[in-house]
Amino acid sequence: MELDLNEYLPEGKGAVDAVVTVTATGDDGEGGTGRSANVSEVLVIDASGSMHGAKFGQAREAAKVALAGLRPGTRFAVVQGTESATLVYPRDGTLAYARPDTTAEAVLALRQMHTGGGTAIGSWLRKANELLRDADGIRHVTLLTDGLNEWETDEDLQRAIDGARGVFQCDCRGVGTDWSPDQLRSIADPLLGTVDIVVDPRDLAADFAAIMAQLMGRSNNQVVLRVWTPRGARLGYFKQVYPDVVDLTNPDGDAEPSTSDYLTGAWGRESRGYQLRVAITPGAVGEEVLAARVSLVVDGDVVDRALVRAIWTDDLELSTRVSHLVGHYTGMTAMSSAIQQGLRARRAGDDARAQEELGAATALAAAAGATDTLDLLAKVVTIEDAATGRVRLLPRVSLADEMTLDTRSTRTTPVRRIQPPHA
Amino acid sequence: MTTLDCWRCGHPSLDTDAFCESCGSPLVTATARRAEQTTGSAAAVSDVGLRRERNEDAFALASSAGRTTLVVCDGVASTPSAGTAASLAARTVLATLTNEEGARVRHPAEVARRLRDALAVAQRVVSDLALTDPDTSPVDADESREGAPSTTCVAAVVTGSSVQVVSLGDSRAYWLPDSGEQRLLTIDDSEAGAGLSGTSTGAGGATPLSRRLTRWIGADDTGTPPRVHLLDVDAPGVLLLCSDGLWQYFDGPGALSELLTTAAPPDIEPLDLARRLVAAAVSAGGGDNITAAVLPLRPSPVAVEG
Repeated sequence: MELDLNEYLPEGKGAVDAVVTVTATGDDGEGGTGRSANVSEVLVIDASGSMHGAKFGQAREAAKVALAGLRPGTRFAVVQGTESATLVYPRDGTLAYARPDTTAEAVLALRQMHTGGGTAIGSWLRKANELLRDADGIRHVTLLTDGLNEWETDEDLQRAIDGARGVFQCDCRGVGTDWSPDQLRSIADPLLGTVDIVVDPRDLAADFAAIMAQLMGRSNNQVVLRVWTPRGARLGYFKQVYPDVVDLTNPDGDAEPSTSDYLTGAWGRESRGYQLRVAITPGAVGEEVLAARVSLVVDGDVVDRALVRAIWTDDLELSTRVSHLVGHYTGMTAMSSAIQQGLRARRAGDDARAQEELGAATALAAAAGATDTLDLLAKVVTIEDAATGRVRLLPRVSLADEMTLDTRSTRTTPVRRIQPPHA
Repeated sequence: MTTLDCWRCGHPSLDTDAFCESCGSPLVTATARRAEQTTGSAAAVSDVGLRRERNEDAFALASSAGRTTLVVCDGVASTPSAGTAASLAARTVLATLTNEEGARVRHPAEVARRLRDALAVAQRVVSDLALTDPDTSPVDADESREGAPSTTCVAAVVTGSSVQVVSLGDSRAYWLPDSGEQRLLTIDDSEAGAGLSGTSTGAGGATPLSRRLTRWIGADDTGTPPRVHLLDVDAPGVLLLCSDGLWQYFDGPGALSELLTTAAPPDIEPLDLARRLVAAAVSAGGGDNITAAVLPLRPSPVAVEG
């Protein structure tokens, strides 16, 4: 676990910003047993009327590829989602063990699926919850949809999401351009999963294969980030900032010394970045205080700690220094929000605002070296000068390009350390 | 693991991270460029000075149940992780003197033994630093530094009018009475140290060689437990513990007493007093880290039985 911050604050400032980078070394770090975790996987395939045709054929093909990617012994089920959720395989409401015969049976069952009806994603999540609730090991859902949650209220969906928190992780995929990135993010963020767009249904199979490969590489440690703040301080926010931006802030901070636990889901061999801001009563010049402590808790044991200190100084050279990582991820978070604001304004017909926001996003992406995001922006605006954010809205933009930019607006680029942290 | 009462809010905290578990205040000064602390009756200030990159001095203070404990440590700059050694030693000595067992000790002879024990515990803890794998420990990667992490240490326990002091190295304790001669309470463990006890000398001419340390807290120290110095205060004055960053500029006879009368009005708050002493050393050159811990004492006519 690595900590990056400028602990020196000018007189009167009451906020400390820090980035914590957590790197999991994978199996080797846990004694090298190489033993894979138990995994339970539920595939949820949208079978609403709009999926009819080639799209549905490709979705079935992708489900077949996903089944092939299950390690023998993995428990699984396939659910078809319409205005309700129906078991495709197995039909008895349990999870099957992945073996050659069961996956072959599941593939047969996939062929018998039909499209028709509406979309009620909350009911799909509730069905997955029933199936996975009592399973041990890693519990995961892959959810594929092509539309909006129209057949139930937002409250129904929210209740289903809340019920699934801590039960399973959910990666969401939207196929085509008739679904809402905001809606899928509202499902995937609390369920510690990802959202992505698959514009061309033919790309679904490769995407599902990648999801399964990543899932099979994860270990089953219960990894929690525990954030302590002292009396008189408040956690302003706690966000994941790499590989994508997810606001995890737990709103119930108070004036007492408080400790909040943040579930992080299953980890493979990967790095994740988290950014926090602590609001704290400013101290006198020369005073030092522990503004927060971030503990990495694996299976109930604290394995590492990072101390976020604040030291008030009248030395401007010290207090004006900005931590490299804090600056980088603050910029990327602002970029993500500017893209979403800009696209929202564009949809609402407010072109002036859209141009302003997308220009700001372009400048931030350029400053952070986020070339992938710049490429996506270039399909929505003409970039005249990336560094200053001078852009013009393109008169015609394909819906697919716009949605791809929206969906991937939360992705961040890692930063290469230019200099070692201040000792 | 020991428990320390936070000097600011009183919350008892495990010193896992050396910060209070309730209000986040540092339980001892770490190697901040400048650190200040007051317990009300006593105060300490440490400053990086003008010439050094880092502040490798440390102090620790506590007052409770009529007893005040003060510790000043000065990391030996020629050794690696000197600041860590100083901070660790200050924390350890304070913890040993103020933990449940330390606080129970009342008889002067037991207090003296406890002071020696506290330095012995710090010796062990700081010696262990030398065993830490340099690749995994957060030490400064300064290759010009050699040997085991080391620090000086001066510690005082004051109960009523009774002052007991112990030291290793060349950090000092002085008694500065409001009227009368200043008294140096410690003997420097340096090549020039032997003649210094009891009176101030005009040792402004001490050469760098003669100030070389002969004892310290750290893995390479060899020697017997240091002597504990006793003083029964019978007149008002100030107890001062300091690193050589302060006393090197005020080593002449009566120089510290003079500084006190010119720089500090009577009845000055302890924290202001410590700040002014440190400021005077900065003005005089600030060549080294400067740390001063002060405790004004006003012995009452009827001494409190300790």
